[in-house]
Amino acid sequence: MPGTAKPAKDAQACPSLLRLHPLYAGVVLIALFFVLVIYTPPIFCSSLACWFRSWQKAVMGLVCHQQLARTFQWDGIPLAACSRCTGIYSGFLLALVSFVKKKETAYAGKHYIMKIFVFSTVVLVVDGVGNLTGLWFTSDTTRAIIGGFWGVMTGMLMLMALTITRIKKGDRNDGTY
Amino acid sequence: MEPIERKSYWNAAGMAALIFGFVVFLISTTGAYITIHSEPSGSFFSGSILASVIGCLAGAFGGVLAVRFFINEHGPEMKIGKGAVIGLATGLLMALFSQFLTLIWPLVDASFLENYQAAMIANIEMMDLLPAAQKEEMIDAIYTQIQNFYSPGSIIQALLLGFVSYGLLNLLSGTLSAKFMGTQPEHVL
Repeated sequence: MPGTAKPAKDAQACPSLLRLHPLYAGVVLIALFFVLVIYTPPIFCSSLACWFRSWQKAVMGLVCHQQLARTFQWDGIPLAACSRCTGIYSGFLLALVSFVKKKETAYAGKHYIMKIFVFSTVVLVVDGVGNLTGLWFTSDTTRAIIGGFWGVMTGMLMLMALTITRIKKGDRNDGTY
Repeated sequence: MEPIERKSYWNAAGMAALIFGFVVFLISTTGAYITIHSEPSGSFFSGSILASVIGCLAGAFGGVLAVRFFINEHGPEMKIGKGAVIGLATGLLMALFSQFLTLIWPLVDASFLENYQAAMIANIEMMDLLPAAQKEEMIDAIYTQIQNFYSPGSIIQALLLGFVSYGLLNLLSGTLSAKFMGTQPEHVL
């Protein structure tokens, strides 16, 4: 198909052919924003009533159930998201930041990353269904680890999405460059 | 000079926003009704086990559907940034639509707000470990929240929260979808 993406043949051999999309900085800032929103209620609130009225709870309440029984607490004050969502957002930010220097390696292993992402999604869904149907009850730590695993894999997918491959002139076989 | 082809994404974003706006409204309202019809247990969300499983992150996938609609309409070629914009637009429209539904639902079920307030307060009163002063403070907060349900300040605040939450998350999902569902133009050195 004309004009569509074509992986650079020597992207692995020449890492300079890979660069990050300018959107990367924005994505990191968004991830950082959500992580800060999740972790800050115990810093600013001294009571459960304060947490209940906090804007952090209101922001995350739209995308998380925030059940107190399934939420990490610090000094009696819950975080703004459940343990699973805390893991997801933390893992996402962690992957974005820590793998940025290794984007060539991540790019080279993109097929494995996709497979591991699918596996992590299955684990996440199975754990959720298992808890719902009462087959088992996982602890907050386990939920956070499972969510974190999915978050890390989503972060790596995002890093792959924001890694642009550039093609040298004359690299194409059709002689158009 | 060739004319620049502008592919409008508003159809795709609007359709996805309607679908996901309805989904998130349905999840939150169902959760509220389960809470209303459950026995008070001393938990804020005693009845929302359904919402707990399918509600988490459900609002983040509007961007995926919007990009799919866009590709169906205009073909797979799109830049990553376009996916981000489509996702953001979907999130903003979704916040608007779900807020609209949330505001009109108490007109359909006139006793909804009153029953929900009663259920929430009953749950808080059952919280034995909570000091009495904090219970009073939380009950006051719920009462104020429900009483001000239709005040302009509350509506604007809810909209802004929706814009931030749904807007940013759908921006992320739209970006990912553009990469994995669409095809990007080459960058030539």
